[in-house]
Amino acid sequence: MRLRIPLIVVGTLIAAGVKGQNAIPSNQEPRAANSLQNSLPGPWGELDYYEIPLVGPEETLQMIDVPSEQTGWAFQLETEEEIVSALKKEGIPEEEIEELVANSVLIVDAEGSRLFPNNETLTKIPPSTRQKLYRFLGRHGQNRFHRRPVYLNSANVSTWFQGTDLPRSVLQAVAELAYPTPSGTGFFLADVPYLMQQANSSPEERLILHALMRRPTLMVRLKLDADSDLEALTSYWSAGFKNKAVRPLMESIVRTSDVGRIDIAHLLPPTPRRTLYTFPEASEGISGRYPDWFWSCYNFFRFTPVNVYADSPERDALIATEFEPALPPYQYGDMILLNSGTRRIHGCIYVADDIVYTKNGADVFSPWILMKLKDVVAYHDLAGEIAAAVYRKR
Amino acid sequence: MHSSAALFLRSVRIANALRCRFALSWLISAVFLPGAALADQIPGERPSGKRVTEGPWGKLEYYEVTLEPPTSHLWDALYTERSFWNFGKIQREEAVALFHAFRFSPSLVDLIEAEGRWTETKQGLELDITDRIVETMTPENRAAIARWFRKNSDDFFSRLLINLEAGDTTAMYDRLKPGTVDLVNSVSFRRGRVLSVMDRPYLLSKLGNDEDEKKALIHSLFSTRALVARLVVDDISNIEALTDYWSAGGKNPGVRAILGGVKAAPGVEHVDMVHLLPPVARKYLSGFISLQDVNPSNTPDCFWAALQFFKSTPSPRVLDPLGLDHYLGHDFEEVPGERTFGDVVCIFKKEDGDFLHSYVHVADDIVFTKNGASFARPLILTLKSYMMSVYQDEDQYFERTFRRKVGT
Repeated sequence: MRLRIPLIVVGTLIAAGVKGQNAIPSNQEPRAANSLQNSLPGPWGELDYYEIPLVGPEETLQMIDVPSEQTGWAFQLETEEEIVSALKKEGIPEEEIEELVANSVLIVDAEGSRLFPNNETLTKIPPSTRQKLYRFLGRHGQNRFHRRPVYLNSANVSTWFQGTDLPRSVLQAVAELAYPTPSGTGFFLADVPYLMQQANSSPEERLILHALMRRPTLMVRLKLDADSDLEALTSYWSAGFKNKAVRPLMESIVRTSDVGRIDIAHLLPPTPRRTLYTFPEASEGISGRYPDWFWSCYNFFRFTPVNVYADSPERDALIATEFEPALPPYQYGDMILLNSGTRRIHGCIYVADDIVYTKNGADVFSPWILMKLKDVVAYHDLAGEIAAAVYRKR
Repeated sequence: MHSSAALFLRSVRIANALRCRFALSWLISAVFLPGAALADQIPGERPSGKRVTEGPWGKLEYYEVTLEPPTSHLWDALYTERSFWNFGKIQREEAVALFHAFRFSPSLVDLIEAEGRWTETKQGLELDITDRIVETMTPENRAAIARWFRKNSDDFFSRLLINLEAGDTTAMYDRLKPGTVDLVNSVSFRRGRVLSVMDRPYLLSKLGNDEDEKKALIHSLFSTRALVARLVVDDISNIEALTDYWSAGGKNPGVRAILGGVKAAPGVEHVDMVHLLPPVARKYLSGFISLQDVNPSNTPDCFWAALQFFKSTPSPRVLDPLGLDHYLGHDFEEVPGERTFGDVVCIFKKEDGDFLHSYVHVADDIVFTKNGASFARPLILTLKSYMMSVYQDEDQYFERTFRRKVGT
């Protein structure tokens, strides 16, 4: 079973949202009245949720190298002509390429070439061109910010960075430099070096980097009271007995308590409950690597995690033997694989409505979180070509 | 005052014996006197609805829930309808003499002589008892013979006895037919402040062919009172102070992100306490241990749960027959005075210093505990008074508090 994630180009949203003048109010503005949202009702019951940003542990954030404020793009090409030709192939208008090259410094050495655009040129790049250019740069390992850009799931920059104390100048720069994701949901930001120009001290550098390293997640609650259809809800959340341990608590809450709403962390199996909203600890990398998306998906229903990873030789065999393709409607615990061509680039676990459990990277900066599926797709879909396949644990 | 030697000179042999006893228990039924905090608890009181506590931990709201073990955690032997007592290695005449020592009435002794059936088994001298014998016994008779079993046949005692959470059967009316609860009341008895039942086979036999009620009875007898708790995080919450308390001096660093994030979310005023617990506690919260957790000679118990509270993953090493001081004496420091989040509290018998139970202090009267090594007992947040309702029998106890050192 394969799903095609629709590609919706939302370049116009930039003008209205991220890049619009009204999109950058002071971050001191009053908070919105309510951030709680409701899911669509379904067999999972009635959910409400809100978003919070997770910040990694200080000792982890201190490992981050502060980049130079000089923007530089690496090409594994040897001449200006080769660069121009490559960019043309990406569909970037010729006049924009010419301006880019004319207003940049090119340094070529034995390992390739680097192009250093000036600020004016950098900020003038139209969003659609930036999307194409940065997608191209992302294929080259040296361009770390393009290879894994910051993902903003909102056009409202001041909301996204709420609570970070970033100065207005930084928010303005972000709004100017963010560009639409290929999937059409949310925005990418790759011009971290440019933002460093706004920092006048090392604390300000850290402030910016820490703000960019925040990972938004959803906190989700299930309505559970005497009016709930207990049988239906326990049937859904116990996932065909794979997660039967949640029954006693759900039954008790309905039968004996007026809790009203319960955080769905209580309804996760033990392993994801342990990891949810946490960043990997050093002890989890003691075998030489940290948990990634496949580790997280494969171990979702396992009490004791097994160390298998996205590039483990046995990965596909495990999927074939322990999972089976699933058709809609999707069920709690289904594994959603995101494929780019023949490559499996990510996987996450379906929870309810459009909410999934995911770990978006194998690094220590990627926590286990709950996200909207469309945001997970947008985060990973660097080329606009992702298709999803869904599997169910046998 | 107790001697520290009572704890730190504990031998591996003693720890083994303790662990062995835990492994065989359905429920650890230890010996305590109420501490000051317990003095106000009234057996039978069953508060409902939201309750609130405020302090350095912030403002906590909590609700009571009753957790029943899943069917998979209730083994077949629990459904046996054979009522019997095991006297171990003593002779029949000695056993009969005990009945007089227990102050059984002459008519009860006569009834036992007439209807009881004695057999010698590998496990020792056993006496099968009839329904009439069960029905003739008084609560005092039950308490007396239970006390003897506890002292002389701890394994059998652990298998025989069920201590009812919160010291009353009120909650059973939510689950069982009134007649069944009356039946339970008719055979329940007090050991100090603990309400116990030792006639499970009799109760099952009285339910005849009502298999659903039998299942409900077993689930109900093993139900555990727990809490769902949440911390108020609103515009006036002091995030620094809350982080200071819940991060436990850096041992639980993830809470800062959670607390800050919730405070920044307009319209949201609570965060469930599950998110404030360290990884191991979070994994097991309101849940039951798995066969993955056990080894052939031991199963997780109160000490296993308390010791690993701040750990990111549970260690199988903690199931090994180690002395209590193996970790407590090195990775922890004993702390006097006010307890804080994550402190491990160990309870010892005053009479001989034997270890009885341990739990983790969370906030105010809220604790994190696993009451015994039984598969049927979950790891829970609960009130200390609830927890003690199954431990607080005739003997006296004392507590010592240990705080995990940062970096261990």
